[in-house]
Amino acid sequence: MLGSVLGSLMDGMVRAAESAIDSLSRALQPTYDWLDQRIPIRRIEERILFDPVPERGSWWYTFGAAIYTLLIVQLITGIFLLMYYVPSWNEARNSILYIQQEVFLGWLVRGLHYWGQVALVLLVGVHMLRTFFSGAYKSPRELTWVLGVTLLILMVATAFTGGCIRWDQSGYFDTVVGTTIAGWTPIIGPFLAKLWRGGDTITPLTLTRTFAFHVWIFPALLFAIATVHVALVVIQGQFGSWVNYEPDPPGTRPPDEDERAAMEKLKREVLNPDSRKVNIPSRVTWFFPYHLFKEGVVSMVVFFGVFLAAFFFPVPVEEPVDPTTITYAPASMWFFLFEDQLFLLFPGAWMIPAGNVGVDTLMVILLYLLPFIDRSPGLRPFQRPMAIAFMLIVVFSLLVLAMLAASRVYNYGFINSPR
Amino acid sequence: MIQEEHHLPARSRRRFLQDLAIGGIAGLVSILIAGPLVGYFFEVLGRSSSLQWVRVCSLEQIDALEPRLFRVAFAGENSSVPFEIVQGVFVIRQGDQVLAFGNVCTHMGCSVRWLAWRQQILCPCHGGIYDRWGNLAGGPPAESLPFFLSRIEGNDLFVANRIIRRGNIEGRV
Repeated sequence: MLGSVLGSLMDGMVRAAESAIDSLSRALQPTYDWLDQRIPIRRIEERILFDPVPERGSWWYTFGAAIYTLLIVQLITGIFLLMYYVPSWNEARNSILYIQQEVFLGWLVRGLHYWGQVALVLLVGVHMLRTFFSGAYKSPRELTWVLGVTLLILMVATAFTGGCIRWDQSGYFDTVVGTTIAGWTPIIGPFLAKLWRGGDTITPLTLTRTFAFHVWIFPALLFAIATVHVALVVIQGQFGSWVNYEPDPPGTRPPDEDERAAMEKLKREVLNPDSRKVNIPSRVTWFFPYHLFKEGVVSMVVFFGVFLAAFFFPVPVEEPVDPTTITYAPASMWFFLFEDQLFLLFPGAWMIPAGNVGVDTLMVILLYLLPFIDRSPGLRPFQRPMAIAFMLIVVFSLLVLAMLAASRVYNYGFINSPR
Repeated sequence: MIQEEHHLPARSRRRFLQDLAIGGIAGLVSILIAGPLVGYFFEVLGRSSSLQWVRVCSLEQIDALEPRLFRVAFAGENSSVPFEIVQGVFVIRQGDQVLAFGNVCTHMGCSVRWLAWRQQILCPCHGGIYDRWGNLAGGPPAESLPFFLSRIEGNDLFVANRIIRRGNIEGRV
């Protein structure tokens, strides 16, 4: 009884919404036509909104969208933080205190910017592992992977420089350690360190240079490359993963009208020699609204998490910069904890460059070369046991190293009597 | 789908010269933009600070068993912003000499501290260990704590904003 009432109520709402949308689109039709005569929006719509995308495993294909959403959150909150932040040796920390304590909701905007970074780096890791385990980096998607690795580096660089320009004790010592590691690079190290510091020691130039990289150089490159990265995904079709080619298990619902139409369109595209889509997955549907809905849900959940974190865990402003401290124990940024543990594992004049700069460089080179090393056509994880085993070992090692670094206690300062 | 057609113009002298001109213009504009920016960015490599001497402490404050940490401030240079470069100086007697060395760990640059209960200097970041005179005694660092260029004037110890890496005994006074 109640069910049928609700059902008819629902039907009525759907009808009302449909007629409202119909009349709205009729009213907007002249504007649409006017625009279409000038910009090929119909073709853009066809190409992007009505793009056939895989149905199977599609929740796993939503991280990229969530990452782009968070990037935009970072951009917007970053711009608003710039309205109060001053990249000045004496005033940077004060301006952050002002944002945190005086500006209306300043603590929330700064919290979103901070927790957005945490979520971004985590999501980029998940996105990369998903791509790796599903085999989506293989031909013809090698360039998408290469750009992705570049984006990972830029992301970490942006997050790191962002921590530096806090210019409290944590920001200062992040800058100290960061420039010192750069200085450990063989041959060019001293030049790199001096170039970054803007001199032999940390000076106001270090802050302004790091600031310029954080707010413009890295983000500009990040957005430009991310856009090409996404364009490549659209051009080559969003079905690099092996799961898309598995046959339907018995008892699966047959394709509906939209799915059949999407499959027809995809087959036409693949046959077209100008298309860069080469394979036909077993089941596809339209990007809009079906996949966009899922991307929207995941983006919203992620942003909600960032919002809650920003609300409940305000980001502290630490003590003013003091290089003579005997109480402050510098700690690594969370995504460099594995690196911090490597510092401990590789001592001495030869091992520091080899173990820290060298291991990182090797990891980055291996990541870049992955699609060119692992060229077997098989996409399934069991068809490439070496690559999978290697990645599992690397991920496990990074996690163990990070946990070791996080649980280490070296703050002798509190044991010492204060001066 | 977009139909791709390749319009390859006939090879001619005019075409060649035009290609050359386009390349030349692009190259010239790139050099005119990038050249100054490269100079602007790399100019800091040539910068150095002038020699400054600051007083650390009087000789009575210097102990033979425990390195004392003093805070010195050099005037900042090469910036439009007024600022000080604050540094920590450890001071101790060794025999008839006075040693003045830095508190910046030679590993990753963290600020080291004297632990009286261990009679050692330790780094809170990665556990670098130095003895009371700043000599490397353990942990990941590769070098001892560097000396400050220092001198005694009357009853006072002065250091300059120049460091001398260990092994160079001229840093001792």
